[in-house]
Amino acid sequence: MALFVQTVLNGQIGLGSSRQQLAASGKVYVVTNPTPGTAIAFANNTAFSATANGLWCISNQNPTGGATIYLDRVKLIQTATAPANGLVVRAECYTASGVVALSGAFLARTPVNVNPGYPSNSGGTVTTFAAGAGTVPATSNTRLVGVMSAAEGAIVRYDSLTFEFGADGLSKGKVGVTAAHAVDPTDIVVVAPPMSIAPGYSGWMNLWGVAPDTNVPSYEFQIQYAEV
Amino acid sequence: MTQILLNGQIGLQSSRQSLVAAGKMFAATNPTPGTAVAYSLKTGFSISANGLFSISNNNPVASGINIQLDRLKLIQTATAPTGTLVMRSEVYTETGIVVMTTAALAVTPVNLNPSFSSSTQAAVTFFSAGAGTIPTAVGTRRLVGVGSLATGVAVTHDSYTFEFGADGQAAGTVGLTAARATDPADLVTWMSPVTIAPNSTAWMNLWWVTQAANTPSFEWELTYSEL
Repeated sequence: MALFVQTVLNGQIGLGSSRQQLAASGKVYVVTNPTPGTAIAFANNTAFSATANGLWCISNQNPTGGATIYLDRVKLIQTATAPANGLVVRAECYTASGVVALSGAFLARTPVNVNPGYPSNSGGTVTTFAAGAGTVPATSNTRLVGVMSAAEGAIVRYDSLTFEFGADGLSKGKVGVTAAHAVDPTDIVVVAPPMSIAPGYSGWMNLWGVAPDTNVPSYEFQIQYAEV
Repeated sequence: MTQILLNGQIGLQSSRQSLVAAGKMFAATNPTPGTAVAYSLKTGFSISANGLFSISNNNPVASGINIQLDRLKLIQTATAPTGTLVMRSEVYTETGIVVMTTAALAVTPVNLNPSFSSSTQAAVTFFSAGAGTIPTAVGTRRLVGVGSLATGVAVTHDSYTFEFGADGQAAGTVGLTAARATDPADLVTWMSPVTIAPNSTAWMNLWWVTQAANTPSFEWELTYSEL
């Protein structure tokens, strides 16, 4: 839908939250790991790399002038055995012109529309990590649009990480505790940039940590975006 | 189309207050406050055996009236299960009418605005003395939300709130250096914005890693809008 068509829901304008209105208009899509409760291995990446730390990538294959993809949230759940000695999780977001997809350790994923009254025909082509970190291919016109840092502390099995892409309101902090948490899992929320992927462009996210060792992190995930 | 004006004002209040003022918000609760309903010891994912609630939209397709989930609160009123770490949930949607069966209780929603009738086309069913059973698919089924709430050790009188598409940022939790023992917590997590189109259904499954002894028992409040 073009940007200038106002969505009126049975005579109501703007009564619901932003996310609920987008969902009611059939604009919200999610991508999840295939089986809840079963995580997918990522990689024990301990340093920045522009190409070797690929978590997910979305390319917008809508025609020029068509719908833009707006990232909303990404949630990672550390379902399997956690790496030892983590302190901080780092991430970067990039955009680039053209169609980019992860290669190497990756799988293509199928987004679904959260509104059952609409078909799941997203213009977003989604690839995510699979049994390793994905490889980000060489691209042109690349922009680094977000640098994120999540103070997870010691990583505990069942921790979750939520990245908020442009949500209104104050950012959430996290209180460091007097000693590393050992068995008590935590839900961490991190701000990320308002990330838009115009038609004919791609966006992706890289992930690494300081300084996990021993075990490879494994994640379930939910990637949520609007297409409008 | 007729736009709703509240005494000549448009959009001055919060989204929820505007919806309530327009008579669009409903709540479904456990029958008796203070008395929890037994759920079940579910420690693994199952697409059909972990039913917490189902809600169907019986409005005709031509009406275009959607049901939009707002919040679900669970209160662990009775003895808490032992050994818990993380509460897991999934939300599915399906075209067609699906009603949770077996350990199931039909619940009658009420309109939050007393000047409007409690007439709703939502059919709400919650667990009752066990987890509900999700029937075989009648239409197109989609997994639209994967929830994870780091509860740590559950404590009697904990509450667990699921936000379906609220504005703003999600609330997190802080992992402690030692597991809590007697101090109850109000924990909040986010879920997808869940829209239930006319003649469609959504339901939520719930399980808990790695609960051992004692069956969880919950009071609940589910709020939703219908417009």
